[in-house]
This record gives sequence, C-alpha cells and structure tokens, in this order.
Amino acid sequence: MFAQFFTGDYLIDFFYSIIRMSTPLIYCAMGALISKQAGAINMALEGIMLTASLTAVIFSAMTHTVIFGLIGAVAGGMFISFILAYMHLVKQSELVLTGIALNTMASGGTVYLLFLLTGEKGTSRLLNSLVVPKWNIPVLKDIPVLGQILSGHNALTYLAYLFALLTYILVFKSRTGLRIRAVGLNPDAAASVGINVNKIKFQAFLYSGLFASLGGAFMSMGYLSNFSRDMIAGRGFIGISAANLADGQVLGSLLASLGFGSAEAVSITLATLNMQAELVRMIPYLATVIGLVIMSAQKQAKARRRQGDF
Amino acid sequence: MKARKLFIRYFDLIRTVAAILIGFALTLVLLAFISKDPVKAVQAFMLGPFSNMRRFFNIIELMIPLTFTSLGMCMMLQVGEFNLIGEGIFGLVGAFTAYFACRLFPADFPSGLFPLVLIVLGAVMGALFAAIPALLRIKWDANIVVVTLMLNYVLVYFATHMLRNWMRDTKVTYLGSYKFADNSKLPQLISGTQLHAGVFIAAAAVVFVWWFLYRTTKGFEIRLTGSNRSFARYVGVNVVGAMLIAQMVGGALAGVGGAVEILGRYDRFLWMEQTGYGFDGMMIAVIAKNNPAMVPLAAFFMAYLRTGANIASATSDVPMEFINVIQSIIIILVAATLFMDSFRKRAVVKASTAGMEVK
Repeated sequence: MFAQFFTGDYLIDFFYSIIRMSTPLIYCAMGALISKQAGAINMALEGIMLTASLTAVIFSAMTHTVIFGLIGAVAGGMFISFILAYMHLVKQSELVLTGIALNTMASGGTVYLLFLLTGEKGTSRLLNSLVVPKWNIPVLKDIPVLGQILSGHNALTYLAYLFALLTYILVFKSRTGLRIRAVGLNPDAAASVGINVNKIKFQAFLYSGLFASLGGAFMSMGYLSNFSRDMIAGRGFIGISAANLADGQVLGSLLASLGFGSAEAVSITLATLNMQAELVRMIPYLATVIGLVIMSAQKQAKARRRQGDF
Repeated sequence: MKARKLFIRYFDLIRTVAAILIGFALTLVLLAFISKDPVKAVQAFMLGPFSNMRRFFNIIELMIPLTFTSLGMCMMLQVGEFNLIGEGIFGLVGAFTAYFACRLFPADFPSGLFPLVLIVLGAVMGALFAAIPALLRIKWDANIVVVTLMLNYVLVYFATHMLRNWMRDTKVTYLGSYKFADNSKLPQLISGTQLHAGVFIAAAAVVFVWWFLYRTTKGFEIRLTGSNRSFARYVGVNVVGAMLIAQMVGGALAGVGGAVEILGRYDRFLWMEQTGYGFDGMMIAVIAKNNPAMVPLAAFFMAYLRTGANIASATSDVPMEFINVIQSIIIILVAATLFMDSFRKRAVVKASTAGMEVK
C-alpha cells in the first residue's frame, strides 16, 4: 500500500496538494497574526472565513465577475470582524466567548442565507458562481517535476505569498504596524504616549478579517467551485494555531501553515489509498494540537530560563 | 423611586431578559424573510412546543443532555478555563457506551445494574478525557480553546471510526450500530413520550454540582481559583489541583450526559458528527452566569428554542439552522458587559440625585 505512495506521480500530487491545502491556512494565519500582534486572539476567524466563502459565491454569481466575488468575500468577512470588534471593544464582551458565538452564528447564518437564496441547505451548486482562474507560470511550468508541483495553482494561492509579504510590511514596517505592536506589547504604555488603544485594536480586527476572508474565498472559488455548509471545517482554528506557533512572526506563520497544510495533504493522500478514513482525517487536527503544545512548552522553558528559575 | 431601585438591583436579570426579547424580535424578522407564510412559521416556532403533550415533553427530553453539558461547562468556567472538550466527550463517551451496550458486555448482565455501570464508566471516561487538555494547559500553558476545539474533531472522528469498524450492523441499510442489549436501556417514564429516567439523574447532577461548588471546601477553592488565580495561590490554595479537579468533574458530567442520552433515547448508535450539545451547554452556562442553580431554567429556555425551531422546520418552510443565529445573538448580548449600561447609569444617577432632593 505504501509502495504505491512513493511512486513519482503520487509524490508530485502530494507536494502539489501541500501547496493547495496550505493556501487558506496562510491567509487565515496572516489574519490571526495581525490580531495577535495587537494583543487579542481573533477566535471568530473560523466564522469569518465561512461567511466570506458564502458571500464570495453570492457576489460572483450576481455580478459574473471574479473580482466582485473577492470583494464580496472581504465584505462578508469584515462584517463579522466588525461585530466582534464592536462588541468586544465598545461593549466590552468577553473576546473568546464572542468569537465562538460568532462562529456558531456564521455556521447557522450561512445555511439560512443559502436556503433563502437557493432553497437548498447543503451546497450552492444552484448559484452560477465563478472560480478564480488557475495560473500557469511561464518558464516554471516547463521544468519537469518542479513545474508540475509549483505551476498551475489557483491565482489566490500565489497571491497568498504576496499577502504574507503585505502582512510583513503592514505589521513590521508601517506606522500602523508599529502602533499595533505597541498596543499588543503594553496597552497602558501605548495609551500614555497618546495612542488610541481601542481604535488601533479595532483596525487590527478589521485587517484580520480582511486577510482571513480571502482564505474563505479560496475555499469556495478555488478549492471547490461552490459553497458547502461548514466547509471551513476547523481551518480557521488551524490558521490561528499557525500564528500562535510562530509567536506572531510572518515567516514562521507561513512555514507553520505549510506544515499544517502538509498534514492535510497527508490526510487526503492516505484517504485515497483506502486507509481508515476517520483515523486519517484526524491527522491535521492532531498535528495542530501537538504543534501548539510543543510551542507552548518551548516558550515556557525560555521564560523560565530568563527568570533564572532553572 | 422603588421601581428604580428594583431596576438597579435586578439589572443583570433585566438585561438577560432584554437580550432574549431582542433575540425573539430578530427571529420574527428572519422568519418573515424566508417563509412564504411567516405567521404560520412564527406560530410553529413560538407556540408549537406547547401545542401538545408530546412536544412539551420533547423540551424536557432535550433538557436532559443540555443540563449535563452545561453543568460541565459551569465547572470549567467557574475555575476560569475555557475548556470546550465537553462537545467531544459527549460524542465519544456516547460511542463507547453504545459499544459496551451492544458488543462488549454480556446481554444477560444484571438488569438494574447495567445502565448504572455504563453511566459510571461514562463519568470515568469523561473525567479522563477532560484531564488531557487540562494537563496540557496546566503543564505547558497551551491555548485551551484551540486545543479543545481541535481535540473535539479528533474525538468525534474516533467515535465514527468506532461505529464503522467496531460495531456496525451490516444488516441495516444505513450506517448504524448493533441494537443495544434491552436491559442496558434507561427505563421510559411516560408512555407516548420519550421521557426516560435520565431526568432524575440530571436533577441529581444539578443539586450535586451546586452543593460541590457552593458548600464544599474544594468548591470554594475552585471558585477562588477562577476569580483570582494569584490570590488563590497566595492564600495557599492548591491551584493546580483545583483546576484539574474542576475540569475532570466537568468532563465527567459531559460523559454522563453522553451515556444517559444514548441509553435513554437510542437503541442503536448513529452519531456521525458533533452533536452540538457541548456548544449549547456553553451558551446555557453563560446565560446562567455559571450558576448551577440557574442551569435548569436556562436549559429549559434553550431546549424550548431548539424544539420550536425543530417544529417550525418540520411543519413549515424554514430551515432549522436559523436558531443558531438567534442563540449567538442572545449570547453575545448577554456577554457584553456594557450592553444597556447607559440605562443602568441613568437610573443610578437619578436614584442618587433623587435621594439628595429629599434631604
């Protein structure tokens, strides 16, 4: 059974699917990273991505334009992000609880909207929605193995790396980013030098929603060609874990997303080999738990060493 | 004057009721949009659960699992941990209970003892499963929300794995387990309804959790740890012990819930995905402000919403899922400390200035 796995075609498929499966995680991790740098965990990213994947389909079907689909995704995702920011920052609700409630809301709300528009509760196949085109990279696509792995991905996959760069510039090279990090490190110190802490956090939540929304758009306009209920399936949380794992650094979050993407690719590849389906589907989630625990343990050891306890 | 004072004193309760009323108002809007006959849909949703005995008992039946999961969540939240493993425990312990009841235990196991043994086993398993994330959190400070949400997927996939590979009855066309041994089931109470003896266990659990949290030293330590960990440590509370015990008791409650639900309402194991009872339990705990004494009331309310939504989707043209939207809006409003705060402030100011005028 495993011999088959190590043949050339399988390996090429496998590496191709790593890049494909990592795409939504990268977007989400970037969104999680921004809010983490502002000192708040955006637990609603799962719901934000789910909402975005539905609004992407709706907008692209209504306008017959891919770009409006993406804009729709961003609008939908940022709407949820706005509610989170407003309730948490202005009405002082508990952040984690509000995030989880918003995920539940997105899970039910998307099905409600879908039913309202199509009369179906499972998928949006009746909506005539578009997909983001695949890009063949000119020179790269002719290189034998590398071309098959790296070329021919969805445009959003390539843009994910551009957005990672944008995140880096936004968080580490811009004025806003400096303020976001200041607020995250020490809100009181930031307030004392005249930074409006709530306003900066609000912005961070909105950016966070914007980036993650594109991951949601990829799910319904690239990974699949329509929306299906609860299609995010924990990817929002895996993206949050990736950002946590890298302690809010961009390159690290990118690598962690690729790592978790590999776990999903392993899961999918093994499933095609007739392995025990349910056991194989656990892999990405288990990988996330193990990754988080290792990271936390290391961080704790480092903190102890700094304190000189050990 | 007096009304204003009452308003200030019962502000928390009034706020919760207001959140619920807003939730209902939004329900009307949602149903009006989606239904061709909104009046009928709203009637089915709001009055349906009380329209006949069977439906009313549906609420009570649904209250049973919700009571267990929300009591478990009260334990977690009282010690200040957002441990959401209850959802996964409910499903997996359900699967294990089913496996014990249809495959592992001999069918001639002493009748009265059988369900009790299975429920105790469920409690033990629940406590052990809950200890995993609790220890990861205590030892390595792992983010408990993300860890437990991820573990929930793992536990539920394992439950489905058990169904497919350990106890699948190939004689039935759908994916279901073998039938449970007859004497493993909890006795039914009222014919024509599905109400089962689990309702007594749930009532006992409410009393137990209330007594444990508010009348024992351990419970006090748990609450102290939850409200101020540093202070608790300073006055000599074993904080790690309190965190572990609270979460293991919480897990045990979710486990009992899963076992009771399976033994009371099913004769085959059929669950293929998360039941949602764990998350509903969290919402109930939030509405009840983590107070076990308030859990039955809040659980009744949540069960009423679910039953109403069920009836509305069965008898008219609305999808059941709209209820998730309503639930989350209510929860967010209840959780928002400053929701309606301007009313309270105005009342406080008026009450105090009025006091001055009298003098």
